[in-house]
Amino acid sequence: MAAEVEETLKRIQSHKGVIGTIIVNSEGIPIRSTMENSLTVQYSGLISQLNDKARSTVRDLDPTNDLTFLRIRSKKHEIMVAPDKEYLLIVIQNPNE
Amino acid sequence: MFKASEVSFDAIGFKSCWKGKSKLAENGTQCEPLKVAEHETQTIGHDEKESQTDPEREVTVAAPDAAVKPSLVAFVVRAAALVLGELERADKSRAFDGYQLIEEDDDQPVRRLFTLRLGAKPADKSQSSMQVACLSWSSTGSVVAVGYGASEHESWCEHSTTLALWNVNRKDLNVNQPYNKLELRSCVSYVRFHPSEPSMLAVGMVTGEMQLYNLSREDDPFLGSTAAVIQGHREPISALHWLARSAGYGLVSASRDGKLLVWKYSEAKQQLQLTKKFQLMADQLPRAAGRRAGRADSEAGLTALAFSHDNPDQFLLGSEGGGIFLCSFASEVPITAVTGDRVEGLLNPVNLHVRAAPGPGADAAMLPVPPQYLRVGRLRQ
Repeated sequence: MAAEVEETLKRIQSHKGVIGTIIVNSEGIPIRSTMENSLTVQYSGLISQLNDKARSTVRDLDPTNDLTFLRIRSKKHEIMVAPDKEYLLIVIQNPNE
Repeated sequence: MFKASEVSFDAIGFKSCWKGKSKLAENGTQCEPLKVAEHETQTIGHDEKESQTDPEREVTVAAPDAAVKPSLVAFVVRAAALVLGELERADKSRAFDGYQLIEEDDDQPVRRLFTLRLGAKPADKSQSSMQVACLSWSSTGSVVAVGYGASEHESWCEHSTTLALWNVNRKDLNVNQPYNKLELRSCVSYVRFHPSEPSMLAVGMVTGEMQLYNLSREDDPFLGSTAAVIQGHREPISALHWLARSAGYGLVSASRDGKLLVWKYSEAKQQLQLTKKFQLMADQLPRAAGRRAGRADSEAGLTALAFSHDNPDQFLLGSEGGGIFLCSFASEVPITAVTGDRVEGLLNPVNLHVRAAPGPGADAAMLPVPPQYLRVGRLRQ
C-alpha cells in the first residue's frame, strides 16, 4: 500500500516541469512531500487556506456544487490542487519549461 | 697623716657635657564628636511581569514509515489520476500561446518621447557651441519653441541664431528638422508663448532686445521689436510674461539690469511701447546675501519673474543676490537719487521682501494656492 502511494507520487513527479508534490491532511499538516521541509510547510498552510476559501465560494454560489480542482497560475509556477474531504494533493509545476 | 678637720666631705659634681635633662611637657588632644545620620528608603510598590514565547508548533512532514491508511491510498490514486490528466492538458493547451508577461518596466513614470535636434549633425563650428537656452510650449500644447544661445559671451553678442519650432503632434514630425525656423540677430535668452493665443510668441535676447512674432502669418511673422526704444533693456532678458489685457497685447519683461518694464504692442505703429518702468535697487538686497555693492544706488539684476494667479497685480521677483521680493504693479514709490538718465519715471515695485538665501536665484514660480511660492536656486560655482 505504501509502495503504491510512493509509486504514484513518483509518476507525478517525473512529469515534465513538475517541481514538487505534497499531500496534506485535513489539519493542514503535510504527510508526504518531495520538496524540502520549510517550503513544504509553507505551501501546505497557505494552500489549505486557499482551498477552504475556494470550496466555500463554490458551495455558496450553488450548494449542490462542490470544488473538484483548483489551479493557480503565477509568473513562475502553476499550482494544481486536487481537494478531498480528508486530504489535499498539491502539485507545483513550471509550465514554461 | 690626714687630719680630720682638714677634710671636707663635700661632694663634687660636674655636669655632663653630652647628657642633658630631658624636657617634659604635658598636652592633650581629643577628636571632634562624630556626626551620625540615619536615612531610610523603601520602594513604594513593585510589579511583576513575565513573558514567554509561545512554544511553536513544530510541523514537520510525518515520517514516511507512518502507517498508511487505506483512505490515503484511495485518495492518492484518485487525485493522481486527476492531476495527471490536468498536466497532460496543460501540455497540450494552447490557452497561453502568445501570452506575454506584462513587463514591469511599464511602471516607469517618465518616458522619453522624442529627442529634438536642430540638425542631424552639427553643421559648422558656430552651431556646435550653441546650447538650448530656453523653451516654451504653445497654449495648445503641440508646438514647442526652442531658443538657442552660446554658453558664454565675452563681449557683445554677435552670433546669429535660429529659433526652432517643432510641432510634436504632427504625423510628419521630423525630430531633426524643425518645421519652422526664425532667424535672429543675437542669442536668445527667453522665449514665451502667449497663454491663450497659440500663435503669439515673445522672444527675449541676450542684448536686451525683445521681439514679438505672430506665427500664423506665413509671410512675415515678425510683428515688432524693442531695439529702437532707448530706455529698453541693455542686459540679457531673464523673464517675460504676457499680460491679460482687454485690447492688444501687453508684456512684462525683467532683465539682468534690474529693470522691469511693461510694454504694450500698438498695431498701428507696429512697435512695442513702454508704459511703465520699475527698477530693483541694490540697497534692497539683504545684507546676508554677501553682496558687496560698490554704490548703494546701483541696480540689482533680476533673474526670475513669477506672477500670482489670484491677483494679476502681484508678482514675485528673484534677484541675482538670492533675494525674493513680492512686488506689485500698483506701487507708486519713485526711486530717488539715481544718476544718469534713469531718473525719469522709475518706480520701486517692492512691497515686501520675502526671503533671502545666498546664491543666485535661477527661477521662481508661484503656485495657485496663495501665498505659496517655489524657488529654484543655483549654487555658486
